[in-house]
Amino acid sequence: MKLSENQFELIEAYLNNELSAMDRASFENDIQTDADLSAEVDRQRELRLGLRALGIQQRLEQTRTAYKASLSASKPTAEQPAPVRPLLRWPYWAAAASVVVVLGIGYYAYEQTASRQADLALTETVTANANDDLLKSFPTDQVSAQTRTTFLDALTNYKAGRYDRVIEQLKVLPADKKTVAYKNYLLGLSYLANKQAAQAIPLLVKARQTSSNELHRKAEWFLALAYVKNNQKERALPLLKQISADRTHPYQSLAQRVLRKIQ
Amino acid sequence: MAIRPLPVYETDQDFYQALLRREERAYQFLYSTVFPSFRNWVLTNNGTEMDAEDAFQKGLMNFLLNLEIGKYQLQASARITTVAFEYCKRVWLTELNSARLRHHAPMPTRIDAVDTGDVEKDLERMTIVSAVQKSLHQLKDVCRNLLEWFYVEELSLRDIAQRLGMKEESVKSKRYQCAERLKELYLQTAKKEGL
Repeated sequence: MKLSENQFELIEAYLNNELSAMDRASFENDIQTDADLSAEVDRQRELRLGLRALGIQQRLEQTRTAYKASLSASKPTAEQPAPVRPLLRWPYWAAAASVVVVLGIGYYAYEQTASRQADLALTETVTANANDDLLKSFPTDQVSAQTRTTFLDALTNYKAGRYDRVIEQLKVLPADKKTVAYKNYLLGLSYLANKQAAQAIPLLVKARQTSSNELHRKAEWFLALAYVKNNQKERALPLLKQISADRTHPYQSLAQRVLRKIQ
Repeated sequence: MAIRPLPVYETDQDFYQALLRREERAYQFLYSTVFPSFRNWVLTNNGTEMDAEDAFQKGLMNFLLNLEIGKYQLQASARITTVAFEYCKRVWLTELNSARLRHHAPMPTRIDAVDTGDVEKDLERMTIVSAVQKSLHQLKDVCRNLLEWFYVEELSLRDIAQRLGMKEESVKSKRYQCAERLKELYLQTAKKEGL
């Protein structure tokens, strides 16, 4: 049954319990007497169930990843992180969310090596920094519709942990003066989250040159982590010291933690 | 090494509300409280690490979905963590039961009297969920993003309009068109999979 926009809105209001008692009763009466409408309400209910489950699924996958990272972090002698079991028996749609890293790992952090500490610090901050914060400062009204759409789509992919896809998208995105720092930052962040620290470094170096203080500080922090991950301690140290000494820096305490492990 | 969960919620009512809002800390608390004991239970009941993780994910998914749609209501008689454990346990027992039918092995344990609904129906429901999500991935990016923002991230039409640089009314119409397209794809998928 092809729905009109009004019918669609009405069914949605019904499923969301947004109809008045009288309208609800009337609509339920229609459902009882119209088999097509009844089937359509069932379809719409199924669709919303699937979408709702996706939200839960994403949150569960984030939690699972965080839990596994915490187990790995709590084993001081472990050489390798705890193996993550393949998702073969889990519905394939879960896989999209499986690589999403989440906030809050710090709850479980105990003693780690510098690299593992950098992993945890990255995990704590990486997703938060490509979402709403970045959107707030992105000049959406000053760029072409195509650039805006590509950038927003890349952000969505980033949030879902599809780092490879973000990299593919942003590598070919034409950049202008207004957006180049954002492009370099998100691309660098995606490489870093994708465990490609060496590729992340030159992009974050460029992103750090932005005139936006907020973006500059973020790029600086992730650049320091990229250096740690790329075994360039001599480059990481001055950056981490600088961030650690800056009370106003949003990553001061995290930088101090990583610094303690390096020194 | 066992991970100690954070003491986060004073009452189960607070915990329940936090789960309804999908708060990250609530999920972390649930996961880190229930999984270690569930894992041990599976390991002592003919299962492996992978079985434990698999059943745990499925059980929690069933539980949390029921919680959000109101099929599970908070009960004074049973702690949330206990109910979640039972949901996961029943998933594993269901899987063991189908294996038992194949291999004639004995069932390992009794089922506690906690209301966990009908686990088989919940598991069947996941085939519908899976079909919806397969269909979602067949949509073009712009539609998939719009529907995910609205229905999964629960952004308002106004916020989405701002993101896309469109008028709110246009986003509303676009959402309708995308939802209709999703329905078409879903009906095709459901037919193909015999749902």
